[in-house]
Amino acid sequence: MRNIDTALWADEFRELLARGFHFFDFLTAYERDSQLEVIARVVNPENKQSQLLATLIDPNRGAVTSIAITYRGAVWHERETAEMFGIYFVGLVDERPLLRRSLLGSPPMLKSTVLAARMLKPWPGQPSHRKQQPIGVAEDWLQV
Amino acid sequence: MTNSIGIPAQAHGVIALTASACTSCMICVRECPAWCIELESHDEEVTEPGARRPRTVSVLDAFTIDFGLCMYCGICVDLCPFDALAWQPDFDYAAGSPSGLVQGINELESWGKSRE
Ligand code: SF4
Ligand code: SF4
Repeated sequence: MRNIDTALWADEFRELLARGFHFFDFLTAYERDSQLEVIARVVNPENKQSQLLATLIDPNRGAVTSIAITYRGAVWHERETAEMFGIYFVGLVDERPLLRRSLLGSPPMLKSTVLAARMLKPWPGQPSHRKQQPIGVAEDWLQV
Repeated sequence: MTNSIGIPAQAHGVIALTASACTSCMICVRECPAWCIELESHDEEVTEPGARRPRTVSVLDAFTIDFGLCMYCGICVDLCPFDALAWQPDFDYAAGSPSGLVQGINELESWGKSRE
Protein backbone atom coordinates (compact mmCIF):
# COMPACT_ATOMS: atom_id res chain seq x y z
CA MET A 1 0.00 0.00 0.00
CA ARG A 2 1.32 3.43 -0.96
CA ASN A 3 0.51 6.50 1.11
CA ILE A 4 -0.38 9.53 -0.95
CA ASP A 5 -0.66 13.14 0.12
CA THR A 6 -4.35 14.13 0.02
CA ALA A 7 -3.54 17.07 -2.27
CA LEU A 8 -2.05 14.68 -4.85
CA TRP A 9 -4.71 11.94 -4.56
CA ALA A 10 -6.67 12.67 -7.77
CA ASP A 11 -3.50 13.37 -9.79
CA GLU A 12 -2.06 10.04 -8.75
CA PHE A 13 -5.07 8.18 -10.13
CA ARG A 14 -4.99 10.14 -13.39
CA GLU A 15 -1.41 9.01 -13.77
CA LEU A 16 -2.25 5.40 -12.96
CA LEU A 17 -4.99 5.37 -15.59
CA ALA A 18 -2.53 6.74 -18.14
CA ARG A 19 -0.13 3.93 -17.18
CA GLY A 20 -2.70 1.25 -18.04
CA PHE A 21 -4.48 0.74 -14.70
CA HIS A 22 -7.86 0.72 -16.41
CA PHE A 23 -9.78 -1.40 -13.93
CA PHE A 24 -11.17 0.31 -10.83
CA ASP A 25 -11.58 -2.24 -8.05
CA PHE A 26 -12.82 -0.45 -4.94
CA LEU A 27 -12.61 2.60 -2.71
CA THR A 28 -13.48 2.78 0.95
CA ALA A 29 -12.31 4.30 4.22
CA TYR A 30 -11.35 3.05 7.60
CA GLU A 31 -10.80 4.53 10.99
CA ARG A 32 -7.62 3.80 12.87
CA ASP A 33 -6.61 5.57 16.09
CA SER A 34 -9.40 8.11 15.51
CA GLN A 35 -7.99 9.03 12.09
CA LEU A 36 -9.71 8.42 8.81
CA GLU A 37 -7.92 7.01 5.83
CA VAL A 38 -9.35 6.61 2.33
CA ILE A 39 -8.03 3.63 0.39
CA ALA A 40 -8.57 2.64 -3.23
CA ARG A 41 -7.30 -0.10 -5.53
CA VAL A 42 -6.92 -0.16 -9.28
CA VAL A 43 -5.66 -2.91 -11.57
CA ASN A 44 -3.76 -3.06 -14.83
CA PRO A 45 -5.59 -5.86 -16.71
CA GLU A 46 -2.69 -6.30 -19.17
CA ASN A 47 0.02 -7.28 -16.73
CA LYS A 48 -2.34 -8.13 -13.81
CA GLN A 49 -0.57 -5.67 -11.53
CA SER A 50 -2.51 -3.70 -8.96
CA GLN A 51 -1.98 -0.57 -6.92
CA LEU A 52 -3.43 0.00 -3.48
CA LEU A 53 -3.30 3.63 -2.44
CA ALA A 54 -4.15 5.29 0.85
CA THR A 55 -4.48 8.87 1.98
CA LEU A 56 -4.88 10.23 5.46
CA ILE A 57 -7.82 12.61 5.78
CA ASP A 58 -7.14 15.89 7.53
CA PRO A 59 -9.71 15.89 10.37
CA ASN A 60 -10.23 19.65 10.03
CA ARG A 61 -11.08 19.47 6.33
CA GLY A 62 -12.61 15.99 6.22
CA ALA A 63 -12.31 16.07 2.46
CA VAL A 64 -10.43 14.64 -0.50
CA THR A 65 -10.80 15.20 -4.25
CA SER A 66 -13.10 12.77 -6.04
CA ILE A 67 -11.46 10.37 -8.48
CA ALA A 68 -14.78 9.69 -10.25
CA ILE A 69 -13.78 11.83 -13.24
CA THR A 70 -10.91 9.45 -13.85
CA TYR A 71 -12.66 6.26 -12.77
CA ARG A 72 -16.42 6.49 -13.29
CA GLY A 73 -16.98 3.33 -11.26
CA ALA A 74 -15.72 5.18 -8.21
CA VAL A 75 -18.95 7.20 -7.93
CA TRP A 76 -20.80 4.45 -6.08
CA HIS A 77 -17.91 3.86 -3.70
CA GLU A 78 -17.40 7.54 -2.98
CA ARG A 79 -21.12 8.02 -2.32
CA GLU A 80 -21.05 5.13 0.09
CA THR A 81 -17.86 6.30 1.80
CA ALA A 82 -19.28 9.81 2.08
CA GLU A 83 -22.48 8.74 3.80
CA MET A 84 -20.89 6.08 5.99
CA PHE A 85 -17.79 7.99 7.16
CA GLY A 86 -18.82 11.62 6.65
CA ILE A 87 -15.94 12.28 4.23
CA TYR A 88 -16.57 14.97 1.62
CA PHE A 89 -15.45 14.11 -1.92
CA VAL A 90 -14.69 17.37 -3.70
CA GLY A 91 -16.10 17.30 -7.23
CA LEU A 92 -18.32 14.27 -6.77
CA VAL A 93 -21.30 15.06 -8.97
CA ASP A 94 -23.77 12.64 -7.42
CA GLU A 95 -24.24 13.27 -3.71
CA ARG A 96 -27.46 11.32 -3.19
CA PRO A 97 -27.29 8.93 -0.24
CA LEU A 98 -27.16 5.29 -1.21
CA LEU A 99 -28.18 3.35 1.86
CA ARG A 100 -29.15 5.95 4.43
CA ARG A 101 -32.49 7.68 4.08
CA SER A 102 -31.04 10.97 5.18
CA LEU A 103 -27.56 12.25 5.88
CA LEU A 104 -28.63 13.79 9.19
CA GLY A 105 -26.95 12.46 12.29
CA SER A 106 -23.53 10.97 12.89
CA PRO A 107 -22.05 8.79 10.10
CA PRO A 108 -22.71 5.17 11.11
CA MET A 109 -19.25 3.75 10.38
CA LEU A 110 -17.45 6.09 12.77
CA LYS A 111 -16.50 4.34 15.98
CA SER A 112 -17.87 7.28 17.97
CA THR A 113 -21.35 6.74 16.54
CA VAL A 114 -23.62 4.73 18.77
CA LEU A 115 -26.06 2.91 16.52
CA ALA A 116 -29.76 3.05 17.34
CA ALA A 117 -29.82 -0.76 17.42
CA ARG A 118 -27.27 -0.62 20.24
CA MET A 119 -29.57 1.62 22.28
CA LEU A 120 -32.71 -0.44 21.73
CA LYS A 121 -31.41 -3.84 22.64
CA PRO A 122 -29.53 -4.68 25.83
CA TRP A 123 -26.16 -6.33 25.33
CA PRO A 124 -26.72 -10.08 25.68
CA GLY A 125 -23.22 -10.53 27.10
CA GLN A 126 -23.71 -8.37 30.21
CA PRO A 127 -22.58 -10.39 33.25
CA SER A 128 -25.13 -10.41 36.05
CA HIS A 129 -22.66 -9.69 38.86
CA ARG A 130 -20.70 -6.73 37.42
CA LYS A 131 -20.83 -4.05 34.74
CA GLN A 132 -18.79 -4.83 31.66
CA GLN A 133 -18.36 -2.80 28.52
CA PRO A 134 -19.40 -4.48 25.27
CA ILE A 135 -16.60 -4.71 22.71
CA GLY A 136 -16.50 -2.05 20.02
CA VAL A 137 -18.88 0.51 21.48
CA ALA A 138 -18.02 4.04 22.61
CA GLU A 139 -16.40 4.27 26.03
CA ASP A 140 -19.06 6.45 27.61
CA TRP A 141 -21.84 4.20 26.36
CA LEU A 142 -23.57 1.93 28.81
CA GLN A 143 -27.07 0.61 28.71
CA VAL A 144 -28.96 1.93 31.73
CA MET B 1 -16.03 -33.51 -0.22
CA THR B 2 -19.25 -31.99 -1.48
CA ASN B 3 -22.90 -32.70 -0.73
CA SER B 4 -25.54 -33.73 -3.27
CA ILE B 5 -25.72 -30.32 -4.94
CA GLY B 6 -22.01 -29.65 -4.88
CA ILE B 7 -21.69 -27.52 -1.73
CA PRO B 8 -18.30 -28.19 -0.11
CA ALA B 9 -18.51 -29.80 3.34
CA GLN B 10 -16.50 -26.96 4.88
CA ALA B 11 -18.82 -24.26 3.51
CA HIS B 12 -20.03 -21.63 5.97
CA GLY B 13 -23.75 -22.28 5.61
CA VAL B 14 -25.00 -22.34 9.16
CA ILE B 15 -23.55 -22.57 12.67
CA ALA B 16 -24.24 -25.80 14.54
CA LEU B 17 -24.16 -26.18 18.30
CA THR B 18 -23.12 -29.21 20.32
CA ALA B 19 -24.98 -28.37 23.51
CA SER B 20 -23.23 -31.06 25.56
CA ALA B 21 -19.86 -29.42 24.82
CA CYS B 22 -21.02 -25.91 25.74
CA THR B 23 -19.99 -24.75 29.22
CA SER B 24 -22.08 -21.52 29.09
CA CYS B 25 -18.84 -19.54 29.34
CA MET B 26 -20.48 -16.63 27.41
CA ILE B 27 -17.37 -15.96 25.32
CA CYS B 28 -19.26 -16.26 22.03
CA VAL B 29 -22.12 -14.10 23.34
CA ARG B 30 -19.72 -11.32 24.40
CA GLU B 31 -17.52 -11.39 21.31
CA CYS B 32 -20.27 -11.59 18.68
CA PRO B 33 -20.14 -8.17 16.94
CA ALA B 34 -23.79 -8.45 15.90
CA TRP B 35 -25.05 -9.27 19.43
CA CYS B 36 -27.08 -12.08 17.91
CA ILE B 37 -26.24 -14.93 20.31
CA GLU B 38 -28.13 -15.23 23.58
CA LEU B 39 -27.88 -17.89 26.22
CA GLU B 40 -29.38 -18.71 29.58
CA SER B 41 -27.93 -21.13 32.07
CA HIS B 42 -28.11 -22.03 35.73
CA ASP B 43 -25.59 -23.56 38.13
CA GLU B 44 -26.01 -27.04 39.54
CA GLU B 45 -23.96 -28.92 42.09
CA VAL B 46 -22.81 -32.36 41.09
CA THR B 47 -21.05 -34.83 43.33
CA GLU B 48 -18.80 -37.19 41.54
CA PRO B 49 -18.03 -40.56 43.07
CA GLY B 50 -14.88 -40.34 45.17
CA ALA B 51 -14.90 -36.52 45.20
CA ARG B 52 -14.78 -34.84 48.58
CA ARG B 53 -16.83 -31.80 47.67
CA PRO B 54 -19.60 -31.25 45.12
CA ARG B 55 -18.62 -29.38 41.96
CA THR B 56 -20.62 -26.50 40.47
CA VAL B 57 -21.40 -26.88 36.81
CA SER B 58 -23.33 -24.63 34.45
CA VAL B 59 -26.34 -26.17 32.79
CA LEU B 60 -27.48 -24.67 29.51
CA ASP B 61 -31.16 -23.70 29.52
CA ALA B 62 -31.41 -21.77 26.27
CA PHE B 63 -29.08 -20.89 23.44
CA THR B 64 -30.22 -18.91 20.40
CA ILE B 65 -28.56 -17.50 17.31
CA ASP B 66 -30.51 -14.93 15.32
CA PHE B 67 -29.45 -15.62 11.73
CA GLY B 68 -31.31 -12.50 10.67
CA LEU B 69 -28.62 -10.47 12.42
CA CYS B 70 -25.64 -12.83 12.09
CA MET B 71 -23.07 -11.64 9.55
CA TYR B 72 -21.31 -15.00 9.30
CA CYS B 73 -18.01 -13.61 10.52
CA GLY B 74 -17.17 -16.85 12.30
CA ILE B 75 -15.76 -15.15 15.40
CA CYS B 76 -17.96 -17.27 17.68
CA VAL B 77 -16.81 -20.50 16.00
CA ASP B 78 -13.16 -19.45 16.22
CA LEU B 79 -13.31 -18.34 19.84
CA CYS B 80 -15.32 -21.12 21.46
CA PRO B 81 -12.75 -22.83 23.70
CA PHE B 82 -14.76 -26.06 23.77
CA ASP B 83 -15.49 -26.53 20.05
CA ALA B 84 -19.20 -26.37 20.80
CA LEU B 85 -19.83 -24.27 17.67
CA ALA B 86 -18.97 -25.42 14.17
CA TRP B 87 -19.76 -24.44 10.60
CA GLN B 88 -22.03 -26.71 8.62
CA PRO B 89 -22.73 -26.41 4.89
CA ASP B 90 -26.54 -26.40 5.29
CA PHE B 91 -28.14 -23.28 3.88
CA ASP B 92 -31.81 -24.21 3.44
CA TYR B 93 -33.25 -22.44 6.47
CA ALA B 94 -35.06 -19.50 4.93
CA ALA B 95 -38.03 -18.27 6.96
CA GLY B 96 -41.19 -16.37 6.23
CA SER B 97 -40.61 -13.88 9.05
CA PRO B 98 -37.55 -12.48 10.86
CA SER B 99 -38.41 -14.42 14.02
CA GLY B 100 -38.15 -17.64 12.01
CA LEU B 101 -34.43 -17.04 11.69
CA VAL B 102 -33.93 -17.18 15.45
CA GLN B 103 -32.79 -20.73 16.10
CA GLY B 104 -32.75 -22.43 19.47
CA ILE B 105 -30.87 -25.41 20.84
CA ASN B 106 -32.89 -28.02 18.94
CA GLU B 107 -32.45 -26.44 15.54
CA LEU B 108 -28.82 -25.52 16.14
CA GLU B 109 -28.08 -29.08 17.23
CA SER B 110 -29.75 -30.57 14.17
CA TRP B 111 -27.34 -29.08 11.61
CA GLY B 112 -24.90 -31.49 10.08
CA LYS B 113 -26.51 -34.49 11.74
CA SER B 114 -28.71 -35.59 8.81
CA ARG B 115 -25.78 -35.60 6.43
CA GLU B 116 -23.31 -37.43 8.65
S1 SF4 C 1 -20.78 -15.73 12.98
FE1 SF4 C 1 -20.26 -13.71 13.84
S2 SF4 C 1 -22.19 -12.56 13.77
FE2 SF4 C 1 -22.71 -14.75 13.51
S3 SF4 C 1 -23.17 -15.48 15.55
FE3 SF4 C 1 -21.00 -15.90 15.19
S4 SF4 C 1 -19.92 -14.09 16.02
FE4 SF4 C 1 -22.08 -13.54 15.79
S1 SF4 D 1 -18.03 -19.99 23.58
FE1 SF4 D 1 -18.58 -22.14 23.26
S2 SF4 D 1 -18.67 -23.03 25.32
FE2 SF4 D 1 -18.71 -20.79 25.56
S3 SF4 D 1 -20.91 -20.28 25.65
FE3 SF4 D 1 -20.28 -20.09 23.51
S4 SF4 D 1 -20.72 -22.10 22.61
FE4 SF4 D 1 -20.77 -22.38 24.82
